[in-house]
Amino acid sequence: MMDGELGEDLLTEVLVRLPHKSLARFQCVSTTWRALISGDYLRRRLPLITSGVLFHDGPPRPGKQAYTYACASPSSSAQDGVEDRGGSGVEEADMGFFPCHATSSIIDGCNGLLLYYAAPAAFHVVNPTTRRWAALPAPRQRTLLSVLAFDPCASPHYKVVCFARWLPRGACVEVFDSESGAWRERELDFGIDTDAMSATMHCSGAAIHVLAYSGHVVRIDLAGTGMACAVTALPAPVSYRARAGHCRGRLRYASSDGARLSLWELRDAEGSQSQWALKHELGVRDLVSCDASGTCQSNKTFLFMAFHPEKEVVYLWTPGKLVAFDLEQRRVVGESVFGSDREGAQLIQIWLFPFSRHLASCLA
Amino acid sequence: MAAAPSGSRTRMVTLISKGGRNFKMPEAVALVSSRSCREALDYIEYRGNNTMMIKLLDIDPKPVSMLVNFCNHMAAAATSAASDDAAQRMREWEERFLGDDVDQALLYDLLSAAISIQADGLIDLVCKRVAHMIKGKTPQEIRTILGIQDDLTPDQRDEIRTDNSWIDI
Repeated sequence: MMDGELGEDLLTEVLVRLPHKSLARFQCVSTTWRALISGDYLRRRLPLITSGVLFHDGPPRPGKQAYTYACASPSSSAQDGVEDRGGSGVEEADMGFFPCHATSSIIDGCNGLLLYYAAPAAFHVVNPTTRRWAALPAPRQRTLLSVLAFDPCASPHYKVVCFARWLPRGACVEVFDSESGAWRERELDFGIDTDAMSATMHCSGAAIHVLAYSGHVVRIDLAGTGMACAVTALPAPVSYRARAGHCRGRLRYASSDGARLSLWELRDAEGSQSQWALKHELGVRDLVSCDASGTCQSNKTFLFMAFHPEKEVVYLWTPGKLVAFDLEQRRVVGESVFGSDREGAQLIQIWLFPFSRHLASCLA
Repeated sequence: MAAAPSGSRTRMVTLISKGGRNFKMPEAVALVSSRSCREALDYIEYRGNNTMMIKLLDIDPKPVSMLVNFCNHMAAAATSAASDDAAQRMREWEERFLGDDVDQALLYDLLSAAISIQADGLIDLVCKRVAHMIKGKTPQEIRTILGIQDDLTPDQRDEIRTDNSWIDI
């Protein structure tokens, strides 16, 4: 039935509509199916999983953590034969499979993995999709800030960067590499004053990108052992709402003046000269429906969360909901109700990633 | 879109199945669902009896008729307003359209017909149905249904099992 070149394209169209467990299991059908399922072509056609970390303000909730993880995946929420159209509910993930869930806190996450920490030095990396976890050996120094880096499109290995001591224009860090299973100490030279660095960062292309209030983005390389830093000037000031991201491999920047959101793309970065293009702008009017007289429900606030890694789509947070906005069609194309406990829950960060063989096999 | 020649009747698209059976639909209906019809408008010239003929000579009449049925339904739905009710009615229609009487062979033929005129909506619907039909099956069942040879070595099988120890293989 499904043979030949046309057959493979069709087969891929069927496979990308399967739940993750079925997809993983069907690698055992034949060598052709295994190659197709673990290959890049299929991975690029898989619907992305959206997940995020929520912060619950207010009084401590008994048995519940302040930071929780929630996840929405198209095929897991689809009922028999009925596709979830339009809005979908995202539930907090049940992390009970992880024994230290109640005694540790989520301190970072990246593309499907979570980093948990419990004082004095207990680090765990957890994969909610496969329900696997790993305990890291303790670093030598106490950590001030920890960052998890993981790219399920590139490798099943992850890194954890712990900033142990700040220097005037850099930091002493310890980096855990899951491939070697060991921590290594390094000294970073940011290239700008440490005081200017913010805690807003994202991981992409084997590097951590950190926003600086001086109007720069600092790229910390994770691929080599040297962890070289590169500084690029941003096209607009960095406020607390500003975020950077990547789309189709290019650096993107989102800045807001409170009324309008400006979305930029880096075209060229030659030394200190950086060329940015203003790609899109949006205001609240683009996101909420206005009544006949043109009055908008202007009490709604929208916070930029992330760029889609491939499409001209951005994700915005308004209390209780994550909204996907298509920049070319200029309209809302999806909404997810984020967090079952909507009172006072703030979405801190989201990730959009495919279910890849690296995600399935990391922590194996 | 090319303007209709003056004094013409409604332009039609005719699909010709195996056995020479003709299935017609108005051009406007075909344009809603078929990408190749939309693209063809740029360069095709209408002649004579004002109809575009598309030959699907190796596909049985039944799937071709279902394809036209699908196109008609989508064109009608496109004119009515979107709403939760409309979405629900569409889902119910799709369930009936690909009812229990639609077996694997018919699904495959329907997919071939949909691909011939690039009816993306129908391709999506059929692929979702096939995915739903196979998702709970074991690899051996898949091999039997599709006539696939098991060519994995025991070592390869072990490797897959280890990498995916989070599920039972």
